Amino acid sequence: MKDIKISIAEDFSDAPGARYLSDGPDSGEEFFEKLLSPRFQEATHRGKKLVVDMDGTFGYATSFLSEAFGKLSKTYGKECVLSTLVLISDEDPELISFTLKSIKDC
Amino acid sequence: MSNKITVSIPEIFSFISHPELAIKALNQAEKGYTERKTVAYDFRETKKVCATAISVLIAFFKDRKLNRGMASDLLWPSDTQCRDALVSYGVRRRVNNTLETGECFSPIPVQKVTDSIVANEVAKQTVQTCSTFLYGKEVRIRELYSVLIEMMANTNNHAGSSSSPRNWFMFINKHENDTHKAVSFVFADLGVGIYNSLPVMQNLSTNPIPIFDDQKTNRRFKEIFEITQRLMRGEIKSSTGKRERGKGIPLLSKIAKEGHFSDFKLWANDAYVDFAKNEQYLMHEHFSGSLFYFQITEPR
Repeated sequence: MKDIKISIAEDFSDAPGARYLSDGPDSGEEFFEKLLSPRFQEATHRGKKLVVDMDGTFGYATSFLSEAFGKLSKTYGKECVLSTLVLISDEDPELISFTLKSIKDC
Repeated sequence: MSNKITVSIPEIFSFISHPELAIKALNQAEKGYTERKTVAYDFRETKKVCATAISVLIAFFKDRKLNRGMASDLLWPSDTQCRDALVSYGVRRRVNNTLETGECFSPIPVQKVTDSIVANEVAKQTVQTCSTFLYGKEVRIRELYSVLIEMMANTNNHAGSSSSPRNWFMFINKHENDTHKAVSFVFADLGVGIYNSLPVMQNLSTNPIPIFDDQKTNRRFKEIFEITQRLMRGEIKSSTGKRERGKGIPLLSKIAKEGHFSDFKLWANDAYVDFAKNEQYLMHEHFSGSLFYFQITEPR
C-alpha cells in the first residue's frame, strides 16, 4: 500500500499565503483545515506515512509553515506527527529543518 | 487660520542619503492632514528625489486613512531632471486624493495599496514580472516571494489595530544600464512601526530616567542596536506574544545577509537598519511606520 502524499504546489497553491484565514488567501490555517489535517488523519488511520512535498511553490512565509505544521503538532501531538510525517524539499532543504522545529517547539 | 500649509521638500528627498530631512518634511505633511488642512508640497528647490521618499509621498496622496480626506497640492521642481523623475515615479500633474498612478512597470502597478491583506497573487505576479525583466524568463525567486509575504503579513498583524487596520504600499522600479539590470522595491506600511510594536521596546522607551541629551542619545542607540540584533536572531517575541510568532524579521535578515539582494534597508521609528551590512543608526526624526528598501541586481 502506498504512502499518502500532498504536493503543496499542485494540491493546494503554488503561492502560499500567510498565517490565518483572515490574513488572505491560501493561508497556513486554510492548508491545515482543508488538506493537511484530513490527510494526516487518513494516514494515521491507515497506518501510512504522510509525505508532504514542499517543492514547486514560489516560496513560503514562516507564518504559513509554523501555523500549518505547528497546529498539526498541537492537534495530534508532536510524537505522532514526527513519526507519521515525511517532508520533502530538494529546492530548499532548510524548509524541512524550519518546519520540524515548528513541530517540535509546539 | 489658514486651511493650507506648505511643506518645503529638501534639496535631496531620499531616505537613503538624507533620511532625517525626508522624514521631517513628511512629518510636517502628516501634521497638516491631522489638522485637517490642505498640504502643498513645495518641490521648487528640490534637485533629486528617490523612490523611498516618493513612495511615502504617494501613500499620503492615495490613502484616505493618512490624508484624512484632505487635498494635496504640489509645487513642481524647477529642475527639469527632478521633474521628469517625479513623473517617472508616477506622480502626475493632477495631484489630489484621486491621484492617477503611473503604469511604467506593466503589468505591476507602480504603487499597490491593499485593504490590509496578504496578497499572495500580487507577490507571485511581482516575482514573475521581476524575473522576466532580470533573466529574460520566468524564474521562481523564492527569497523575493518569501520577503514580500512576510512584509505584507507584518503590516497585517502589527502596523495597525483590528479597528483601524493599515494598508501597505509597494513601489517597484526597474533600472538598466550597459552593465547591469536591477529591480528595486520599496515596501511601506505607515502604522506604528516595527520597533514601537515590540512589547520590549515599549517598556524601554517609557522608562522615565532623567538623563542629559547626550546620554539619552547614547542610551537610545544602544537600545536600538541591542533590540535589532536580538530581533534579527529571533530572540524577541512579536507583539502578539505567541511563541510561534516573531520569525519574520529573522527570515528577512537571513535572506538579506545571504546576498540574494544587493541592498536591504529598513527605516522604522527612530531606527535605520542596513540588514545586508548589519549596521544600525539612530535617527533624530521619528518615522511613523516601517519602510523597507531592497534591490536585486544582475549583470547583463
